[in-house]
Amino acid sequence: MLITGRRSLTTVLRLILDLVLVLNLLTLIFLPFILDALYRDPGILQQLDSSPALWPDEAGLRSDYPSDLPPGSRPFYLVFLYASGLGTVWILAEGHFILRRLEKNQPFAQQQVGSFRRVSLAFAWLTLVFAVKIVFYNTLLTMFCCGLFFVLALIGLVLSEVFLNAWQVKTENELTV
Amino acid sequence: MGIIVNLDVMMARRKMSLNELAERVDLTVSNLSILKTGKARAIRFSTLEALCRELDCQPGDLLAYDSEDGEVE
Repeated sequence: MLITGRRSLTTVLRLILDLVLVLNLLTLIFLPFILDALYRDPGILQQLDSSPALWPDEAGLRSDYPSDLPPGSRPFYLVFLYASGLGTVWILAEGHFILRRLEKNQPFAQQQVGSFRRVSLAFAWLTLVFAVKIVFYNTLLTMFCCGLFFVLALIGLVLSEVFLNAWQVKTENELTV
Repeated sequence: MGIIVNLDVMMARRKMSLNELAERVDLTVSNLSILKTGKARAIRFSTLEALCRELDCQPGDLLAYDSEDGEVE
């Protein structure tokens, strides 16, 4: 099976990405209702229990709530999830366009540079959002995600530079007669 | 760029069309057009040799340097 081009592995990856993008958008639309349900029955997402808060006393946690979802934190989580959700939508949308160009056999198009820069910017945004969460409701997972997003932002920036160089070499080659 | 390509002048002198020259030097018309319109960034020695052979001229007849043009760039 082909890796890039039409009907290749790239197409499969793009379709998966598109599905995640749609789910992400739907989650953002219904976020207030999902959050309400979560606060009514905190046990819905059992995995939240497995990430203990670092400073439970300061966060004022109760044992019947997941560690990083204390009562009264709904406004914060609504803003936090909207901010991070918009960041992921941004990344997924750029991923869609990057993969589209791979399908069209234009891996080193000039637009790829801009796309990777925007992906890097979106990861920087996510880093900032998670850094804010560290201040208010810190968990080990939050710190891990914050660090991971920071590294991904740097990788995105480096990749954008690599693609810029590739595009320059390609243009130079095309204009050599 | 300060380098000026005088391919069109030489083609006019030899009364040769772009299609004919492209066929003779084994280049695509679009590539030759890039060279003719001065959009090319570089030219291979093999291409220059073929052009000189077919147009019966020297590299200096095809290329010229304009210092003023170079300063503007």
